[in-house]
Amino acid sequence: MKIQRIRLKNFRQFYGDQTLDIAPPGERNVTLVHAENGVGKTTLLNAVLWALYEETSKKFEQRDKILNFAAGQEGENTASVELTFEHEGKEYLAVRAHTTTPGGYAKTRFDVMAIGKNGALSAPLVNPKAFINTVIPWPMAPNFFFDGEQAESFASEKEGEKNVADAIRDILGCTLLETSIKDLDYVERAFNKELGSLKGEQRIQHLEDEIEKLVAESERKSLEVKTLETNISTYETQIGRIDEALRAAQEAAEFQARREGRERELDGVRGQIRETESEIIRWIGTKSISLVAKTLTGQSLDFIDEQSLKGRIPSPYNEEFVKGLLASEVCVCSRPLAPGTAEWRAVQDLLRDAANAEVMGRVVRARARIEVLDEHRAEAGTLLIAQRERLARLEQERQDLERQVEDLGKKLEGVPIAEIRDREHARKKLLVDLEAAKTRRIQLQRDNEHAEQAIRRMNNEIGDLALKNQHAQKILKRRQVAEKARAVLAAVLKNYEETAREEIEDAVNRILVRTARKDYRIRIDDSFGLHLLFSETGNPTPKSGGENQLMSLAFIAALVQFAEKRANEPHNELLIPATVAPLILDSPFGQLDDRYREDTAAFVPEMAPQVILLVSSSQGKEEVIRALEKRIGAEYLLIAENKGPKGDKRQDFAQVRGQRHATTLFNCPRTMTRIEKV
Amino acid sequence: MDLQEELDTKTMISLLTAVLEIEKRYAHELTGVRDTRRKEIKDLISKVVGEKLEK
Repeated sequence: MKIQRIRLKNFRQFYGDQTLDIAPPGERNVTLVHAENGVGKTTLLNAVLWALYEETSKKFEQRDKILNFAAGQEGENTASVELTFEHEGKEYLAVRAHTTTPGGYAKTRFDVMAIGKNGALSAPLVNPKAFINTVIPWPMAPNFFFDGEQAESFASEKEGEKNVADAIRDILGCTLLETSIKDLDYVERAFNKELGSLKGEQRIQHLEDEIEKLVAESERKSLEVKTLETNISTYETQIGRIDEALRAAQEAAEFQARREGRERELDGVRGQIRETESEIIRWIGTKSISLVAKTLTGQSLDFIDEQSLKGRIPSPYNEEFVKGLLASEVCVCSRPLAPGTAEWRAVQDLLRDAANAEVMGRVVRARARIEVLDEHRAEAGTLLIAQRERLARLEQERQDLERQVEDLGKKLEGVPIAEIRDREHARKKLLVDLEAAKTRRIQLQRDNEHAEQAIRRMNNEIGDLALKNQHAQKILKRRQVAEKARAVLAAVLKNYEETAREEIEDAVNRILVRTARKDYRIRIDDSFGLHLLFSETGNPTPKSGGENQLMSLAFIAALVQFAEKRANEPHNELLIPATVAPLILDSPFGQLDDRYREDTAAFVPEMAPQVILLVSSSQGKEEVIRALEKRIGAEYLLIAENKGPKGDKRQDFAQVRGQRHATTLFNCPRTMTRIEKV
Repeated sequence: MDLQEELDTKTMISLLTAVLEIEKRYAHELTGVRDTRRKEIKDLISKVVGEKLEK
């Protein structure tokens, strides 16, 4: 989709008929709109959202007041937003109009018309809503029409995980798959209910009720796990922030540095303990058998040796040799061996104990295996003792380090500065909460694993019971097909999400290499938590507001790139088609300092084929504009016109391309926002 | 019953395609279609199983 023009008629503060022509894709693909706060930046973003979907962003206030106040006063009753856009080589006009009747009743009409080569409009499309959803599916829209002021919370600990997960799923177009999986799960249970309602199938009914209960309980626990994961991430970040503050406080810095050193060592020792414990478990699997089987292997080897010595192993005569005698019908003593005679049978009996290649192979293998067990036995004891000693030493080290960490904590608590003491107390409490949350999470995850096993067992039992009844068998087959279909779709979805997660993570990191001042990289974990890490150590680092905003922007840029890549791939029937849409960024630089703004401004034009950037004068400083300059294709000012006199109010000015423009005017015919092309 | 053997891959793919077609048909309706959609999917499965496995 390429937006060519946005036309506002009496929409919110935009009185009358006003137009913005949008810069086309290419070298100068940025449409820059300057406006002070409260003048209409967010309204412009929401005009597009409203026109296409009748939706607005979260922070858009009084969303039902669409008609411009002055226009209403002058007798106008309709406000509208028109978007002229190109999609797959054709031009369209989308118009959403909001009309208020004299009785105060409001109605909205939405039409999309194709624009012919001569500019003539086609008849309105039959289902404009469905058409727009094929141009930019609604779930993907908030990622293209992005409120930068919310960027800080987008990647924050509290809301980040859900936002990131939703954004990836939305841009991936998983909605269809997700709904199908839920529906098939429901259908599966509906078949089970049908089974339970069969006459004389009370046991199935009972099992079905139990499954229902377990499913409800598991869903509740999964939700709790999600909350706990958010809490864990919050606790870890808060601890990180406290550590940073303690490092920065002169009186605490030394203790804190020592504590961090000990904690790193402690992490290492804990890792070694886990490794040694695993070694011991492996020892049980591979070496312990040689100790237990000591008598048996000794006796077996003695037996083989003794029999070999006596010439019994391998057998003193060979199978081929005996078969040769029987075939030639002549014995070694030259007497004839006529088939069926007593002599012939006596020689044939020798075949029972005759050695062949297989028997000989077995003897060789048995001996080799016994010798290996013997070798293992020789080293098994020594190995175990060594591992046990190592474990004891590591446990001792762990205890020492834990004591040292605790002592350093006490020293920090003893620092005669209330702020440091308070921080240390808070840290201690956070560590307790963190541990409790982690323990609870493990417990809930185990509960859910057990519930899953129980559901599987009960479903199997339902299957067994149903086999006895022909009608039940039919329903069972249907349930199994629903189950299989759900499993296939779930596996497909997981695979898509994994691939998307990895690709987006790589793309964000490529952007961060270009823009972040410190050597950062991000990691998107399995539950879609977005973590900022120091590249060198891989340790998490607490995020400031600016870093959250930078990370969010990098993430959005990566999403848009991912969408573009998807759009160029052959269409996948299981996913909603990908789209390439203009990116509208409202106040994207709010929390960034000057240097970050410059670097971010430099990559913004590359984020999408068309970028509409809405900035205030504090965000659109000279340096930012300079970084963008060669990419600006259209530039606008939003002027706040006030009906009243200036009085004590501030007169705002914007410096655009070396010229000073008044952006607040007084004593105007009405209060409104005017769009002025620069 | 070995479902894998009884219901071949081709039939499973066409079943999944049909399920997704139903989902697509209702995708742009915001409310009040969940139960209708689910009933359609249930009927679809009954029909496919009836044709393929219950002859």
